[in-house]
Amino acid sequence: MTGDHTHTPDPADPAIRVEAIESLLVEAGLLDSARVDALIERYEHDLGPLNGAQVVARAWTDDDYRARLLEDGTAAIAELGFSGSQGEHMVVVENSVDVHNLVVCTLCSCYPWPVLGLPPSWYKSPEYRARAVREPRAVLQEFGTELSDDVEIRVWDSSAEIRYLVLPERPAGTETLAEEQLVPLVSRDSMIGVRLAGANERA
Amino acid sequence: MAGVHDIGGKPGFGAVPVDDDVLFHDDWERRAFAVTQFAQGAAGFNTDAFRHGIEREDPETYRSATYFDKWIRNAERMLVEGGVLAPDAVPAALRGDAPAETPRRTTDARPSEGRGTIREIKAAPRFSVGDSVTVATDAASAGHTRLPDYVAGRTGTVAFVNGGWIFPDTHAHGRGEQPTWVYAIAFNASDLWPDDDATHVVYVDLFEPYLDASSHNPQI
Repeated sequence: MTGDHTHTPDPADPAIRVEAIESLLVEAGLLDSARVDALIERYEHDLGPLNGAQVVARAWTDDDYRARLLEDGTAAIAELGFSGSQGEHMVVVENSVDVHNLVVCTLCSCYPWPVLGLPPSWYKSPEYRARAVREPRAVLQEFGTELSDDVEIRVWDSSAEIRYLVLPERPAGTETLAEEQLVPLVSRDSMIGVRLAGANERA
Repeated sequence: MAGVHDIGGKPGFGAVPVDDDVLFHDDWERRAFAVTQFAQGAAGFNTDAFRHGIEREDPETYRSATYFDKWIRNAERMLVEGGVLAPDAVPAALRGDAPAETPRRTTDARPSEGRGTIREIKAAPRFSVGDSVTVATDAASAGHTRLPDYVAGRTGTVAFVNGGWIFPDTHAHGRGEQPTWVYAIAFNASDLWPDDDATHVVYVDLFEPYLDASSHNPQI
């Protein structure tokens, strides 16, 4: 800050332009700032990876549900009440001892909002978008995820309107846990495919 | 030639910023997220036209600007092209002036009647699961497309037939929905990047006009 209150706002500053555009839309009667607040609240707090974690925990404990989830992801996810924008057409891909799935959007930042909320910054980064399709093992290592050489890696580039959710493997030693006890083991990153469920969680 | 946004598989990118794990860095990014969505609605832009707006960012700015800076730049672009704001409305507001020009709509891109983007198609899909297909090399020549450059000209195998969808390449430009089949195509990384010694498989959702039958069988 310069302390100079008479200067013209810097048009290159995105914060200034957001404010200007919001004001112009409000003045034109096209926008109510309370709706802006409500949309932020919904996408920052109401939607989030807890939704996806409930889907995964259900699939781990209910074989019929798991079968429905893999057959028609959109319908099975809607059974738990999750649907809407950027989740209209869901495909769930299952990890196993032999297969590991990883999701990316190389062209922009497509992401399954109803089950995971909004994407974290790194998911939208040019580094992730460029490298996940070409060198997934190196990218996984940057997340601390080491896979055996004989695991087949499948990378899903969400280039159309289908959105992907990874069904991670249920961690070993959790056989006695109930569905609600499993939910906290399902991290957002495990449903993108950059980490394993119950493993090397973020601090 | 690939657009500035079409970076899948391109070399020269460093480590993933794994610790940059937030949804928003600052309060203005929150407002940019929401205001841009309302701007899209006010301007009457469909999702494909929205994406094409971001892709039309000046290449230098696309590379240097932060994610939500690109969004708010697109909000202004959509509002101007949609005839909601005059071209000089935002600069004038920042100067404290009234705009000198009058808003005028300059785009044909419109929303798709709130019906989502999936469509029933009467024609049978041209390809079936297991077919070998080769991706066009010229679909990305002009305007918006969802054909990533790293699969252009490459041969893969149909893994799923995903139903019928609005075709982004026309829909983004006001040339209609022209629904088409979409397929998940599986590509061997060794076919995409023969010098890499990679063994993974990449699945890309591709629209039927991007694809042609291939006699070559990549054996995925």
